[in-house]
Amino acid sequence: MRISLERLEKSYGGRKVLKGIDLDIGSGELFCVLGPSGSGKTTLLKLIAGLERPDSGRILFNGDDVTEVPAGERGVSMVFQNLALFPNMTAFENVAFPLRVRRFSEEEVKRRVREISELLRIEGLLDRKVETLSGGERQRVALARALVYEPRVFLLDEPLTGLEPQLRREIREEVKRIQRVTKITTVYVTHDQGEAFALADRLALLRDGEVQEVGDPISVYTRPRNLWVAEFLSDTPLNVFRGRVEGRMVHVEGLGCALDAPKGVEDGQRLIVVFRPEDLKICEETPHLPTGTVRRIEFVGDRAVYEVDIGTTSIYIKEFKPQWFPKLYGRVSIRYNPEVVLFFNEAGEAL
Amino acid sequence: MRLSSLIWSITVLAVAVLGSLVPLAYTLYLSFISPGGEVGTLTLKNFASVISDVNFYRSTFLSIAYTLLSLMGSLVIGVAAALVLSALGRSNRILEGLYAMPLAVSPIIAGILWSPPAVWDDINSLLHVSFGLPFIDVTDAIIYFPIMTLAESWLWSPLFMLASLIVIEDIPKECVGAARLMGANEFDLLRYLYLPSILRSNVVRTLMIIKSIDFFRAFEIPFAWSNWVRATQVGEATDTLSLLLFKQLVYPPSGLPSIQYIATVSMLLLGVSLSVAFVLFRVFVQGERS
Amino acid sequence: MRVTRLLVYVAAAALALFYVYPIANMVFEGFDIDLSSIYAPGFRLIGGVPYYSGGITPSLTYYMDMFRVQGFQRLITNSLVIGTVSALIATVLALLSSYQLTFGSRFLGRNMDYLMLVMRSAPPFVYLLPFLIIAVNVGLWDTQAGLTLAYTSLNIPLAYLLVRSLLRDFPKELVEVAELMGAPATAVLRRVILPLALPGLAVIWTFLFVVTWNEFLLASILTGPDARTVSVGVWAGVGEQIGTFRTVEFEAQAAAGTIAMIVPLLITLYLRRRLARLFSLRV
Ligand SMILES: Nc1ncnc2c1ncn2[C@@H]1O[C@H](COP(=O)(O)OP(=O)(O)OP(=O)(O)O)[C@@H](O)[C@H]1O
Ligand SMILES: [Mg+2]
Repeated sequence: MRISLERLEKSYGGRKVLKGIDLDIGSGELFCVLGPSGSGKTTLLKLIAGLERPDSGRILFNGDDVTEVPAGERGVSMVFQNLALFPNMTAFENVAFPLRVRRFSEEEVKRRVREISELLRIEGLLDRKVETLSGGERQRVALARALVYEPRVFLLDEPLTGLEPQLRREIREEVKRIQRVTKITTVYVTHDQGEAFALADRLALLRDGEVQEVGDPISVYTRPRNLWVAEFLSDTPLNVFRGRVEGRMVHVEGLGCALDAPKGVEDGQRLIVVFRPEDLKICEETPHLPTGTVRRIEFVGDRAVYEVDIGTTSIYIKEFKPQWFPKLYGRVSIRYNPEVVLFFNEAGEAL
Repeated sequence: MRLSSLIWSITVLAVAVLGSLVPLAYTLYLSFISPGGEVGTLTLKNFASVISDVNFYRSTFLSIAYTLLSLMGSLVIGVAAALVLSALGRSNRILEGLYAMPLAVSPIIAGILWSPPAVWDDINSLLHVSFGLPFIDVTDAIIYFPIMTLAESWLWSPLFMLASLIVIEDIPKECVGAARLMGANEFDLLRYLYLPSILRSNVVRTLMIIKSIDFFRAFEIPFAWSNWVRATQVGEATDTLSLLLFKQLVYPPSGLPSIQYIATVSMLLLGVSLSVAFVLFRVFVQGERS
Repeated sequence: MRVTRLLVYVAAAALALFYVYPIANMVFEGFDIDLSSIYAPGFRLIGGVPYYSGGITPSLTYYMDMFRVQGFQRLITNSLVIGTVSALIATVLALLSSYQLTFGSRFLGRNMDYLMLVMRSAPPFVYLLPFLIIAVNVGLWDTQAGLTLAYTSLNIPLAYLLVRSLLRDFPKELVEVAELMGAPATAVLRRVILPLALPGLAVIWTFLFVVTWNEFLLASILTGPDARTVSVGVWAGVGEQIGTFRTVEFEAQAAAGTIAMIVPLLITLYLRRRLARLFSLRV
């Protein structure tokens, strides 16, 4: 099922929550929508599901306009942000619900629930009341309930928030595996960039109801379309500098170094230069390299984050499996790889 | 500290004594003294005469029937009203207020409101004048007995309605959305979500138990009706237990109030409520522990 | 879909008629307006016997009679005093004892719960007979004090159960922390529990007041002309005597019933949701 959204707009009480969304989601794709809290992710899913009507714009499934089709007839299933399991039912009754309202025979209901339970490994939980299940078990039941009636489109709204990291990974892999097996077009909403990168075939970044960027994880990461995207994708603050083009070089203010200018810039143009923390390396004090004092060392197992004061500003450096640790308040230099520096114009758009 | 703990114990004692021991002990005593009355001699004769009294059995049976009908009526009407209100939209406070009005009406007024001179005369006039139908004889026991339970349902169904509304509004909005998304229509929502939630909820269940007890003891509406239909003697066809006891007290067949008879029946009923309460207690205590 | 919607509207209207008509009928009858004369003009049934009526003739006769001649205001005073005081005593006693039993002795608490549950479901005559005999012998029959005492006794089990389920919802740690800090039990009750429980207690008190205001059986037996309460007065049509069966004028009952309904109506409309929640009591 291919989903096309055309200039979707939605406001709540006069406040625009979605401001003209255009998206194309391919058939069988696992598509992630990534955005900060309040950016309109849930609203977008509700529009696709048909639980809310757009103020304007169209929703097409395989080219057919379904904007006016009621929720129950779109063949869409959804795992809600708070799961929305029916509290008065057991796990089995929850999973059986969509089949029962479709008037399947009780035998068929039992068979299908058993099948999906095996897939999600919840056979042992079926007789339990929902409130007696743990968080992870509830997630699985909610997934089973959304998948059991073989929907054409599968929507997930931050289904893993509030779970411990191990469980998150486990269920994330489960979702991916099931999606690969069933080939159902899936839209997965999250505010966690790691989750989106791990799952998505393609992803869209949403900010204040506007799509900032669409693409596959690698190109979105390596060539973010604007400064906001780059910042949102990083869990450590970016190192952002002003620069000025002179000759074929970009002089970076505050760092005292010059880089090869990107294509298509004019002499004298002002730029924004971004060094990602993970692209920098720390080393013993070396001439001709930016040098400063280590202000802070944050060691988190497989990586370390340093904050280095170079006089004019602080620089963040993220190193994986560091071989050499500087002393706190010691003098260090910073190595950078000119190949992976990001350039933006003054409006924050990528060059 | 000494003084305050003494005060605490006294309040506990006061509650126990005033709230239960005085009435209980006194009624128990009354049920064992002989009707003729030398003070100090206790007898079992009262129990024997109650057990051999046909009025007692008939009234017990009638009270049970009255309880069942009233409970069914108020549950069905109350839940239906709640469903209608929630189908109309969540913020229908005015209509909800209208539906809740009977809660303010005292039972004796309910006995007056649904009486022949009030509602039934109007219905009979309407049937007669507008449709040319014959009058319904509401003084016939087979007709007014259900009407009494209807009045009882009118009076108490709003409580069931409010309790059901509380339950319905406690169902998360997403759950309803999820159900619709999965293809449920109004009927499915009713059948799988609303009705089971209401009937399995703690509020509604407690209400059912408490109102069953109250319907079993109900006095005012049967009393009012016995007056409308001039069924003022002991042993009429629709004497519920409370009404029977009242008549024994105020309008006794022997001319003298049968205090002993009343006390004895009360003690027998208390035995029943003792065991009912015990069962309830077990259920609730276990419900709380699990 | 359209049909379902229509059915809902029809049901809503039918229910409104069902709930409101009897009350509206009473209010109009109090002003001597017979609603049936609207759809059955010129025709009237009184107690099943057909009459020919001259139409609608509103009047204040019954209200004038009620207040000028019969002194209904005295009944209102009686009901207010008796209801307020007995509900208050019952609530306070219930608060003190169930506080003690909730945060003190659990074992005693269980037994008390059981006792009160039994008494809550006991037949009303268990209260009526003893208080009738005592009142007659002590000279409290037909006095405000006598009826207040009887109602306090009658209200205690319900008050206890309601207050106890209210207190149970407070975490026990609240009291334990305060006690660890050295506060005596009275201070904990006054400074910690009471401020939190006050809204709930107010609802319980109001509920008991309405129940007492509406009670009929005890009042009809335990009072004569002096201490008579509103609900007895309504039945008597504010007439002379009560306790035996008698015929009264329906319009007089309707007028008195209208007056009697005002206070409970305001209370229940305002507090209806909280009243319904009271019944989720966990015993
Ligand atoms: N029913 C509603 N009424 C009014 N405002 C709403 C409603 N639903 C959402 N909003 C507003 O619309 C904006 C977007 O909400 P939405 O739930 O889509 O955000 P989100 O991206 O899913 O956020 P989160 O990550 O916190 O779930 C928010 O500012 C929210 O307050
Ligand atoms: Mg959301």
